[in-house]
Amino acid sequence: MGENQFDGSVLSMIINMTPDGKSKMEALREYIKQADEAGDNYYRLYWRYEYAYQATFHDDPSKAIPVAAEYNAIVEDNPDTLNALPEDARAEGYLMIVQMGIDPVAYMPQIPMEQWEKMMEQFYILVKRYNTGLRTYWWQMARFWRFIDKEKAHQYFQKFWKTGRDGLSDCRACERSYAVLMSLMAGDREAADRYAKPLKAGRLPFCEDAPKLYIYAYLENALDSGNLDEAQHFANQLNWKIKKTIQDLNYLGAVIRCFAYTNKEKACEKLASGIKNVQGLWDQKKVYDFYKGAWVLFHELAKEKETASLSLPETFQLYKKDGIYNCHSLAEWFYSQAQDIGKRFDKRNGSSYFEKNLELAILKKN
Amino acid sequence: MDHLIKKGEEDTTTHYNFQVNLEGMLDILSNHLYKSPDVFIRELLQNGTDAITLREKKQPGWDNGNIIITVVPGQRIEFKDNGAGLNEKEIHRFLAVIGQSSKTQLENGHMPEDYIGRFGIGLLSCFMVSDFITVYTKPADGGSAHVWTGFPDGTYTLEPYPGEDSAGTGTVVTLEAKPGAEHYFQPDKVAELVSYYGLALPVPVFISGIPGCINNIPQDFSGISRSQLLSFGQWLFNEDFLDAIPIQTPHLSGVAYIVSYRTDSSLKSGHRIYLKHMLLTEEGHTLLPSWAFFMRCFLNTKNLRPVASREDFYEDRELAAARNEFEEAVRSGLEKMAEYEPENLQQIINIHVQAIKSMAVWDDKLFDLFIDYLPFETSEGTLSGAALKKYNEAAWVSSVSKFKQLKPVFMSQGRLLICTGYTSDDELISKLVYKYLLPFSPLGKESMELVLEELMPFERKQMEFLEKTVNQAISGFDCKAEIRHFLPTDLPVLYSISDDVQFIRQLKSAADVNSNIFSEALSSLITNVEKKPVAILYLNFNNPLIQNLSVINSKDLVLSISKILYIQALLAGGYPLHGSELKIMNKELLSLVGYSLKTL
Repeated sequence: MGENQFDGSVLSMIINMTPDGKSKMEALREYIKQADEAGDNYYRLYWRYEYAYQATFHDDPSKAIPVAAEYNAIVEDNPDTLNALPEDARAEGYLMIVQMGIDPVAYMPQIPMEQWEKMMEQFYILVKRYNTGLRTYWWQMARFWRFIDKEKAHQYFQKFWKTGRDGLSDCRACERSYAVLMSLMAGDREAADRYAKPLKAGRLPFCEDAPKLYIYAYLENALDSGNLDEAQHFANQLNWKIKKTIQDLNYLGAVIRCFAYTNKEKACEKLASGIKNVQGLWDQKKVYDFYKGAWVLFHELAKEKETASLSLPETFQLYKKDGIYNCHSLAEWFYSQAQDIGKRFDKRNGSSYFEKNLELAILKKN
Repeated sequence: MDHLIKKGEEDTTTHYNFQVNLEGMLDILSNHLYKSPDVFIRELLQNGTDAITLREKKQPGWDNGNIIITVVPGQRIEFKDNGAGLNEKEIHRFLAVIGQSSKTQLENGHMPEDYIGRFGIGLLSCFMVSDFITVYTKPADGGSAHVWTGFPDGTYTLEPYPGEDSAGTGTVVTLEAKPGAEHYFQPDKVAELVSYYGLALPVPVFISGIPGCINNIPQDFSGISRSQLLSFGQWLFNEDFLDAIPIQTPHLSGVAYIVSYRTDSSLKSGHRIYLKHMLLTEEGHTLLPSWAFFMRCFLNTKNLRPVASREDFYEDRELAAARNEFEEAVRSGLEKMAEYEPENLQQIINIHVQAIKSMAVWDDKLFDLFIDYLPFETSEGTLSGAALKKYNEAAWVSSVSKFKQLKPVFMSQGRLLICTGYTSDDELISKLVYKYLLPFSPLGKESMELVLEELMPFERKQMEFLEKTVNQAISGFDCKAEIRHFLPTDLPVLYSISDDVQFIRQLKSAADVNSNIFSEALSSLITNVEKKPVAILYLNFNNPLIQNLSVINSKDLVLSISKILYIQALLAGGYPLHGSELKIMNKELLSLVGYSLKTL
């Protein structure tokens, strides 16, 4: 027994004590390397899964793609590798990490649509091979298509809702949140309220994301339809729940967009706290949502004053040492950034979803 | 909608009532609504307490309410309260109709605050442990006693109580243990459940055979000494705590205990949170802030609404106000500690640094309170916020591996480098710099220039050929070479990488392996990067190897050594090598060996 022999269980104990996010991902990257060198199949798969999970829920979900690809390659090259995992984690773990790898593609306009379609075809083959995950497959289809064709997205959503749950399915509260989102998108508020009822009454156990997701759907809907009172109600709720993490950037964008009308000072604080996380993010939907909120904030601020004092990080492209920023310039800059991302999405998707979405960003007063 | 009857038209439609399958309802209650059958004790305590509250309202001045539980081990429980009781009409109305509660009559449009229950389904939970429920009840405002017996098939009987109503005024609920539920019918188990669910009840609860009242605790914790609070916490949670912060606000009354060991941030349970004196939940995620994971809270809440299962709070403005009150109370408790018991506060910080850092990120007042005590990893070892304030110059880097790589450079140069790669540290250092106007900056390209000194013009000339050749050697790796002065002298090269370069390296590593599903997407990601981020390989002018390399005339040899130095820098930085890099290293090492042999 060599002194430096790889011991995954000891590293597991250390990683469990490491806080979620960047430091955990750095540690996991190192552990993956060690497990690869040691040829320990269990930990090669396990830590890649953990890394993808961290990326998906605590950092930039796009960072799940390379580890999902490696996991896929390890298993496809030698299917026996899966036997290193406990029986109940083999098929579901495999499909789950593949899903975590495909999931961010919807939010990365640099990956062409045909490639996403091919990935989904491959995912469907895995669903059939392991006889699990069909419901998840339909949701992935609905989720992508909502940016292209609402009707088609709704048809996929209905297939998702009618297909039985399995081990790969998201938590019930998340699924209901999707239903709220899709119903609001289809303009069916009554259905959305029906889906949301058990969520509002707390009759379903929540994962960390579920309450934010459905409240966010209501908030965006209220803002898009110009109902500021309702938006304020949901923005307050969401504001309580969101954390200062990359994961919550899109929620933060919506909250900033609402506070731009109701509490500009707080909106500026929120913007300053979130902007560092936006830089270098590969998930362009999160960046878009944040920039959209920021644009609305400075658009409204510019009506009241010429400059604003902000504590923005040095890494921000328009950083100013004295912290005094011209509101109009910032509004223009954030708008052009959001518009540029939106155009890239629309070009990739062959639709005008983001163009129209940005048109709705400034509140139409009822 | 022609099937709807318009006003004035004859209604020929036959109306039917829904039929409720009580057994099905019970299945829903036991398997979906309630977490465990033991909630029947909670429901009985709740009904008993509400009956006593009602009698206190009806008979001003009467305050002798109590609950007495008699247990025949393994067989029967008699649950007696001396509250308002029910008359015959009320029995039919409240005991026989599901969803009807004697407490749901609104007062001024609101639920009366002093009643606990409201859904009228609580009694049904008793069917989870008993095949029938017998209720003896005699109203306190006169009238005769009755006995109601309910069965799980939805039927019930009602008869006047025969003979003398020896049980007196109030209500006695009798349950017989059904097979499999006998363990709930033990005095110790009942005492444990009463203590668990009803500890905060204002009505005394007694259990036959157990001396004294089960639930004798103060209703207000604000005037109680620290040692008494800690003993109560030890008794309640069965563990010793570091400290206790009393909470007394319009919505909350209780104590927040600080645990004596490091806890996980995902931990949200282990609290005792009561609603109107009755246990509602052990989970803190709805009421408590995310940073409260280093606390165990005993809290009695009021003016908040429960969800139907009575296992969590309903999301509304009152809940938001309660959350703010909790945060304010904890903050004020910690402020007092900082003033009067700073060593206690330091001990808490030492153990719960992560939780406190995440609190301080969000809350300016807590930031001011804690920042001097919080530790940060630096090139000079661990330094507190107070120590950092004394430095005239520093840089921070938000990657742990980059910090480790640069630490020796900074140490040799006597400069301070702060590692902000750990959760919350980046936000805290930025906030520290902003609030106290410290001349610190993040380690960007510009700050790297400060650490890595530029060459003098004649030195640059001397190194011109080498820099050009190394750049030629490593151009295929999305990396460029720069020659600088830096310490320590024995470090020949330093590889500097941004997060973007790191991610692209990961993508390339993944693309090296054959993956059906992701291969095209990976290549799209690699090729469609708009501005390709470039890593930098710094060559140390002070290092003898670099000096020697600059005078070698053989371009091929310099190219070979440059590639090896690049790969050595990657290895030193702990970066996994791509397949192409491994191949190059093998090739160049072999050619170097060949060259050495030739020159022998």
